[in-house]
Amino acid sequence: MEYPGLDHVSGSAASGRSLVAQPHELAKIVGWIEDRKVRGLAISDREPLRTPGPKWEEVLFSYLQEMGCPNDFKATGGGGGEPSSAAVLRGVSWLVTEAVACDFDDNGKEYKAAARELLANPRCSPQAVGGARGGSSSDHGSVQPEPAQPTISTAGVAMDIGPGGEHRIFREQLRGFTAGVETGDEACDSVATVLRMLYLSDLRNLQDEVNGVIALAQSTRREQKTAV
Amino acid sequence: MKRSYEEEKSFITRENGQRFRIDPGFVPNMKVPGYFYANDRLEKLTFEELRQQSGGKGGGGFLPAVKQIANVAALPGVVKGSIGLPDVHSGYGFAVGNVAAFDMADPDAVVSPGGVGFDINCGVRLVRTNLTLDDVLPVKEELTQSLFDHIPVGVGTKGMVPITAADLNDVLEMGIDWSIREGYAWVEDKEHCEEYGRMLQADPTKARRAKIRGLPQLGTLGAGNHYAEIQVVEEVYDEQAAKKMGIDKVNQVCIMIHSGSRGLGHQVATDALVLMEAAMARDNIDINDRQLACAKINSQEGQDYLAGMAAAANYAWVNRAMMTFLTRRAFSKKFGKTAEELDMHVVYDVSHNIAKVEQHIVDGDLKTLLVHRKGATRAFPPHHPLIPVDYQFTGQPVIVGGTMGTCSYVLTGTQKGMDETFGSTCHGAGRAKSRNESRKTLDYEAVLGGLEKKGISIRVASPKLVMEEAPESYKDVTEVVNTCHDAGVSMRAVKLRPIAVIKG
Repeated sequence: MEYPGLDHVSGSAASGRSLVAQPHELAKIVGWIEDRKVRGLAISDREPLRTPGPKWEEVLFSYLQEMGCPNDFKATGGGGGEPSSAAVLRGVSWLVTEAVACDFDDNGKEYKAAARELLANPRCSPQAVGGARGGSSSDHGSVQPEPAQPTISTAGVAMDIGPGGEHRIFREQLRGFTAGVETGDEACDSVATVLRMLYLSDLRNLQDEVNGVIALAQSTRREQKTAV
Repeated sequence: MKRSYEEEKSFITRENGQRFRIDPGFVPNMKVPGYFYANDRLEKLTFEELRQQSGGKGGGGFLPAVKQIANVAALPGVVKGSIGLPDVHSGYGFAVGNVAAFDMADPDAVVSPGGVGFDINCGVRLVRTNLTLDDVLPVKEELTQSLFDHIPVGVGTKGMVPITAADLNDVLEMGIDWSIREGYAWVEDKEHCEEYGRMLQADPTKARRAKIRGLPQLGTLGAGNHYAEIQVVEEVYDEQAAKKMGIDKVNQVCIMIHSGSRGLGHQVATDALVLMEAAMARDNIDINDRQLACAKINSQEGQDYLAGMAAAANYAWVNRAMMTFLTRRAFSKKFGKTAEELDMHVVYDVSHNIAKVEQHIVDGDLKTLLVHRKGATRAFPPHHPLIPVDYQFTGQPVIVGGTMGTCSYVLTGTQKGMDETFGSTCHGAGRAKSRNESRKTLDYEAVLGGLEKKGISIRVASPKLVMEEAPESYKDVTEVVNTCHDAGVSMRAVKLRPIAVIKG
C-alpha cells in the first residue's frame, strides 16, 4: 500500500512482534492507515492515534472498537487477561486487513486492469510457465482473452499449468477433472476445480511431510532384516 | 404355505436395465425392499437358483441368494434396501455380495456377524511394478517358484515372521501401523488402504480365544479362494485414473494379493454367533433365518463383536502387509534391485468382508449407518473425504479379483453407487457352482491344461483346490464388472490378466 516509512521499521518487516517493541513506529503506521486508507475519524480527532505515550494503547483499542474490530479488548493487560502487546498485535493485524479492503474499494478497477495486463503478458504463456500440459502456440494466438476471469488465470498461473488469458486452452486442460460441485456457470466451475486442485496439492505436500516424519521414526526402529 | 416359482417371481420386478427390486411380502417382516443387479446372463443364474428351490423342493444347504437378500431386509433397523451386487450368491445368513446398512440412531438396529462373513476383512491388494511382461517372461517360472517359496500357503500353514503373544496384541490394536513400526511396510502403504489400514475401535481382549489361532498364521495366504497372482495390464479404460494409480501401460507387471484374517477372524465370528443367539432370545429379536444371528448394535454383545471384528480386520491388514513384504523381497532378489527401484507401491487395498460406521444420505437425510459389506467392496466417489488424496479426482480404486486364470479389474467408485448401493460395488466373480459340485464335475488335469494353454504358471498346495477354484466354478467376472459399469455403481479403469498364480 506504499507505506513510506517501511524502511524505518527495524527487524523483519514481516515480524509483528518487532513492531510492537517499537511503539513510535507503530503509532506512525496506525496514524498513516487512518489518514490514508480508513479515514474513519474526523481529522481533528486523529492526533491522539499518532501520538505515542502511556495512554496510546487505550486510544488504539477505543479506535479499533469504533471501526468495528471484532476483538474484545476489555480483558486486556494484568489480572490474567491477554497481554497488552498481544492484543495490540491482533488489533493492528485486523486494521491492516481493513486497510487492504478499503484500498481495494477505492482502487479495485485499476487493480483488475493491471492484473489483466499482467496476465496477458506473453511471459505468462504455457510455455513460459513451464508446466503446460497440451495447448500449442497456434492455439494460443487465436484465442481472445476473456475479461473478468482473473481468478481462473491467477489460479492457473499458481498451478503452473495454465496461461493468463487463454481460457479455452485452460479449460481443455481441466477436462476430466471436476470439483465435485456444479454451479451451472462454466467459469465458476473451472475456478472451483482449480481451487480444489490447489487444495489437494497442499494436502499431498502435508501428507508427504507426515510420511517423512514417520519414516524417520521407522528408521530408528526397523531391523536390518526387514530392509528390501 | 409354499409358493410356486411363478408366484415367487411375481415379487421381483426389473426396475431398469440392471436393477431388480424384491418387494416386501417375498419373505415375512420385510421392512425395506431388496434390490439386486444383474445383466441378462447373470439374471438367469439368479432365477434358476430360485426356481430350483421353489414349491418346497428345498435346495439343500443355503437358501437362494434372492431369499437371503430379502431376509436381510427383514432385520431390525435396516434402512433403504438390502442390496445384492451382480456377483451375489448364497452364503451363511447373508448372501455373499450383499450390502445392508443399519441406522445407528435406531436403538433396535442390529449388527450381524453373518453380514460380515467368517473371513473378517478378507480383501484384495494390488501392488504395481515398473517391470514389463518382457522383463518377466524369461524368468517367469523361477519368479513364480520364488513367490511360492516366500509366501506360506495352504490350510494350517505357519508364518515366516516370528511374533510373540505381545506382538500379536500390538498387531490387533495397531493394524498396519504395527507393520510400519516394525519395518515390514512402507509408510505410504498405509495411505492406500481402506481405513488407512487400522480400525481404531479394535480391542484385542475381545478376540482372546481367536488369538491362539492367529499367532502362528500371520503372514500366510491361507487356502480356499485366496491367492497371490502376478498379472499384467491388458487394457486401460480410464487413462486418467490408470495414470493416477501408476498402472497405465499395457503389459506392465502387477501383483495381486487376496487374503484375509485367517483362523483368527473365523474364531471371532464363531464366538460372537454363540453369544448373539442368547442375546436374541433375551432382547426378543425376531429373524427369518437362524444364520442371521445378530445383536443390537448398542448391546454388550454387539459392541464386543464390533471391537473383536475391528481387531481381526487389523490382523488382516497386517497379514496382507506381510505378504507384500515377502513379495517385494522375492522380486528384489530375482531382479537384483530394491523394491523402491522396482516401484513396488501399493495401488490400493480393499476390504470386502467388513462392517463400518459411515454417513450416507437416506431419504434426503444424513444418517450414520453401520454398513455391512459381505463379498462387496466399498466404492466411494471422487471427492469423498474418506478416500486418499491421490484418488480424490478419480474416485476410490476398487480391486476386483477374478478367478484362477481369468482377468481381474480395477474400477473406480461413483456418485451413483453412493446414492444407490451405499457406495459399494462387486468384489469378484461370485461362485456359480458349489465346491462339492466342482470337485465332482471338473477334472484336475483338464483345468491345469487349460491354464497352461493360457500361459499361466501355477503353484498350488492342495490339488483339490484346482477344481474348486477353476474358472468354470465361478460366474464370468467380466459379466459382473460390466453389469456394475453399465448400472453406473462403479466404472471400469483397468483390466489385468494373470501370468502366474500361487494358491493354498
